[in-house]
Amino acid sequence: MSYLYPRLIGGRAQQLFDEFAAVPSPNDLVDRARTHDDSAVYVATGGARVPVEKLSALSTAVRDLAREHGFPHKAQRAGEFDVALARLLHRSMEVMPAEAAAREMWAFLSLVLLPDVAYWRFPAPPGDRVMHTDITRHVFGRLWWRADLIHDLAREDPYEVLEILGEADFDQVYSRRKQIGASPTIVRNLIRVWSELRENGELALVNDRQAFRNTLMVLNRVVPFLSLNALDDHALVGELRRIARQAIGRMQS
Amino acid sequence: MSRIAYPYLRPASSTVDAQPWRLLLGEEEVELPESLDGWDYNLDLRLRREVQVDGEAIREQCRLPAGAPLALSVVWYSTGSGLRGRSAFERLDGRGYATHHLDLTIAGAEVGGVLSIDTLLVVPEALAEVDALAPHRAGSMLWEHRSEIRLQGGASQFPIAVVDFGPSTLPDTAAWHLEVSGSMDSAAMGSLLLLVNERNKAVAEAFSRAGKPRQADSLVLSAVYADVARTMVEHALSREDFVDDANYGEETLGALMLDVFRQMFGARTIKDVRLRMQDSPSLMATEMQAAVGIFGGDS
Amino acid sequence: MTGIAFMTRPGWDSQAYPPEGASAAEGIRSQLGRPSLDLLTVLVREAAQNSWDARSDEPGSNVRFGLDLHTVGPAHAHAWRSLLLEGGPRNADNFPLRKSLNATSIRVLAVSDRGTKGLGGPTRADVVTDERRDFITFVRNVGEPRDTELGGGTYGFGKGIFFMLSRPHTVLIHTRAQFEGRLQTRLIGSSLAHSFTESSATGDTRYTGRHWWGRKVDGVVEPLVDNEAEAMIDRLGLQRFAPDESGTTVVVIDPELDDGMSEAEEVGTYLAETIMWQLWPKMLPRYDGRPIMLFDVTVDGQRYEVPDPETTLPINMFVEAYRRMNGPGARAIETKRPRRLLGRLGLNDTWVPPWKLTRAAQTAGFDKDLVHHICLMRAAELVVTYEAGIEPAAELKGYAGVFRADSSLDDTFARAEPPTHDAWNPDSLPFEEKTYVRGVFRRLREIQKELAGLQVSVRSDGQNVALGAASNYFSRLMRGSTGFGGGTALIGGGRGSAGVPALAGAPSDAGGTDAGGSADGGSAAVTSGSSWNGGPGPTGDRPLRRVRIRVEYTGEPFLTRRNEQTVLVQEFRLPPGRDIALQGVLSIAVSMDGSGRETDGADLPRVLGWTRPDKTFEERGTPTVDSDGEGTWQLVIQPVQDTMTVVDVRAEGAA
Repeated sequence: MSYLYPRLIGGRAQQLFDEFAAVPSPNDLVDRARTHDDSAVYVATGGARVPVEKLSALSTAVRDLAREHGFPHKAQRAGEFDVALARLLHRSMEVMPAEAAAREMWAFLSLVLLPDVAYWRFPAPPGDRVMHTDITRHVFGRLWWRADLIHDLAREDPYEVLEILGEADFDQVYSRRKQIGASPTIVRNLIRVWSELRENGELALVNDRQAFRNTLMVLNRVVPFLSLNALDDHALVGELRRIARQAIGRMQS
Repeated sequence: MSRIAYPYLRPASSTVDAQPWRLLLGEEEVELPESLDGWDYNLDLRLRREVQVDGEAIREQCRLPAGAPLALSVVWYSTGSGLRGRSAFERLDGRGYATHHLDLTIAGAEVGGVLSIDTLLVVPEALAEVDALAPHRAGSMLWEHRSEIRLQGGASQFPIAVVDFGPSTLPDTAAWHLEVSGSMDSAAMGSLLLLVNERNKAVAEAFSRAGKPRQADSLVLSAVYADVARTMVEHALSREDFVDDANYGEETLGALMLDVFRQMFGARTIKDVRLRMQDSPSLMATEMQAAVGIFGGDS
Repeated sequence: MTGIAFMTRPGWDSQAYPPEGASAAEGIRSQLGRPSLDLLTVLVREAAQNSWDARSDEPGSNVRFGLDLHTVGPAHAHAWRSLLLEGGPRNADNFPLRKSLNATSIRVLAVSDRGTKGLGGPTRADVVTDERRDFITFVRNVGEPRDTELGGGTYGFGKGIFFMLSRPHTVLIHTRAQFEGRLQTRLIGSSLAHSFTESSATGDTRYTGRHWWGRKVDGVVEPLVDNEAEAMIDRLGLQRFAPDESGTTVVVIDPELDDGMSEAEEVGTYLAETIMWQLWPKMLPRYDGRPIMLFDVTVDGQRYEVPDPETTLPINMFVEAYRRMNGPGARAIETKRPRRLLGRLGLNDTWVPPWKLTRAAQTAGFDKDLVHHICLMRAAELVVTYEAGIEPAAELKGYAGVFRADSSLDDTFARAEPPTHDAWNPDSLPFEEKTYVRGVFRRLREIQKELAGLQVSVRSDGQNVALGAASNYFSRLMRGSTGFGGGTALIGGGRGSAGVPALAGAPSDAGGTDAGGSADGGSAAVTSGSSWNGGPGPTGDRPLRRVRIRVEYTGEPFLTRRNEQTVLVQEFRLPPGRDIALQGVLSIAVSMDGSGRETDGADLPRVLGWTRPDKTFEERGTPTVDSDGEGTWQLVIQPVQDTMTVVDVRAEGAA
């Protein structure tokens, strides 16, 4: 079972964004939070509309989590909050990837359902963080996708990897989403390779983050002629390991 | 003006021959269309195609050893979900010229928008000690072919959900219910929902077969269509703010109601129709049947 | 000079910042937050609540609450200007009362209560006493917790609304209360304007923006009392207290009314109706003999009757629900774990005759003439808000409900209220208490759903049936609404919901299309081979010395071995010409669709040289050659291992 979420269309998103710009504190947005907006729409078919109880439960859970991290005061341990929120959203929303790719849906979450939390996480946010313009920057959308791309049902904790890959690294992957990140298989195996290299001490002599960035650059060079998606996991891991080592080797030479 | 060069030898295109993709819809099989009207997330895509590969010629032209592994793989990418995935993988170890049958399913839940489906001939694993010009890395593409199908676009769709009326407050034995909520200024897509009772087999089946209806299904759909249209008009007329000179914003319930009204009554005024409705409701119901062309109209 | 005048006449004293600091006036004013209700409504609610909490202990005495909006008569206006500006800062920016009193007419709103205790107790905040400290709390202290049991407010913020409503943020407080065994009349002015700095010969002084008007004794402004107060009341044209009366009148100077309400009649009607919508529980005769509130609204001398809640639609529905809540038909609202009574609900599920949606009703949260609301209140029985449920299925069907939180949880619900007491926000509470408040909303929502007759259909999970085709079948009824669905007719300007653009050109496949390229690729030159010199000419006025010459590629670039080295070769033909400059522009294709280009960095492909049609090798990277138009040329490239090389041969000749 998966749900269809309301989508906040552009004009209304802009309107709310403009209104909220004048609100001094996220606490003042608690009253603006709603489970419904008159101008929200649903995709016509393909599942059940999310019941209002589920929306309230979701907002309650997110709000509780925010409170644990300092809401309404300055966010504490924002990275930790993001990881926990990524788990929460991915586990509880019951939404399909194609539905989750709808940017308007995320705008509904940030501007109607949870404006207080959104504006607390990113005070005075640029539009991308809360509107329907860019999922890769959206306060909630980017986290769901982060969880979706790395979650691995083969692991005891399917979201374990969220903790391995930091936000900056993930942004690297995500900004190359179309090239490589679009494939959960590649992302998952790349992370597997990366933690393996780290355990083997192969990253000891280099700047971890720079090495990761270089690996992505090398990867970017081979994907035009190597279809990594066509491979089974064994061959894929082999290729990814080779790519990573090539990048690391170049840094040491 | 630029050309792109692979870092290894590639075979001539004549070494691979692929028949068009076939799409399985229920019992039927059609050539993959450019677009698929009526697709939604619940519809998985079942695809088949045959591919002839001349393994021997390929290995020779690429300077691969005679027993080098090759594989056919299908990789898709969806603009709707932004996801990429693999749906088929078949190794062609050691074979010469042969026909391969690809048969795969792409989960509807993972796709949307435009779906590209790439059929690829690849080197499936890294090869050691081959000619310097030969493809040797796992995943090296030797041949590829892309097909595309548009699953979603911008067309209007009527919101429908099949639900069990049993636990609801709607009568158990009713067949459908049009839920209209919100003001004339609320978004149409959020204000209308046609609920179909799954307990009512005749109607529930007609809706699930609407893409390929049997005659009985067509009659049911036509009846529901006429009833929904009438319900919408009656709802609109019952609202005081549904008037001739109202100015509804785009994509609002009001604009939608007005459009349906115009489809039914052409240039007649709302005021006039509202009066007629009070005077002779049964005649108006009949007029609306005619306007929607119930059961195919003139048939 | 000021000092002498001050001894004989009362005047203003501005609070300078003490060395240890103090709150700025604007900070105190903003304690109410930014109310979502309009200021008049907040005033009615808060002032009535204050009055109710100050009700007299005498049995059987009702609270009389009055609102009197009027213009100070010409006979008294001069007294206001001469007496009430005395001693205040000269600069009207620092002391906005100057502007208000010097306007052609002086508007005031007198908010009065009688049958109340008045503001008694000591007048100085530094006095220790066991007596009530009402005067100090109201006039001197800010934000003190209220000690009245089960009172309506939780903090003494309610008075902030008087200052917010006044344009110059100034009020006169006229009160009569028991003090040292007898009734004492007091009059004092108070202003909460803006903090400011004033320069003088002795240096700059910073002021908090708080000012008091009265008589300065031992460095503190004291109220005028008894005879002196009453004489001043007469000179200002205000209403004296009767000899045995106690209570308080707060005179809001130059009140700010909503822009929409210019007519006196509009204001009067709005105030009267707002009192009914917001305070009706206080107006009902009580079976237990507790006092009730009587209301009086006057605007410019004209009285406006507050409608009777028992006979006025749709409040009479709520009155009935309220009675049911207090009777045996009440529903107990409980939590299951832990099992606890949260409050009682009375419901009145009925047909609703048409009623007029007034401005006051809209303020109360009604947006149509439908009633599907539950009125929330605490033990103090002031309306917190009207919680709307789903619209009823049938037009004339409706229900009114009243929910009162159990008094054992009064404190919890009080703390869930914002300073304006018009909502319950569970989020601000500790966990356990949060569950109580949420529990109330959850149960009420369930009940409201039942009442709307829509309980389950929305909740039932949709079956996983592919309905796209059916939906398209109905799409004619949905024209003009941009879908997100499967129908693929593209509407002009339709918004793509998914937003990921289709892939750009695929990497070159076996069909040999030009992967990175556009229409002006080499193959085009084959078909228009005669136009050898047909390169695009310069478009500027000034003739350029060199022009681009079209190169005809012959076949795809291919890999081969040359001198033990892997090289990439691109073959091409040149038109006849002299002094043709050749250049190989190389880059690396990146990204999965091969559309990206990497053009800098240490390891880029490089030109090894050129092979002429006569098979001689030219090692220069950018040679200038002559061509007779015959034969095939070759660009020889050293590629970077395991990358895709993007090759572009450029040729320029003399114009």
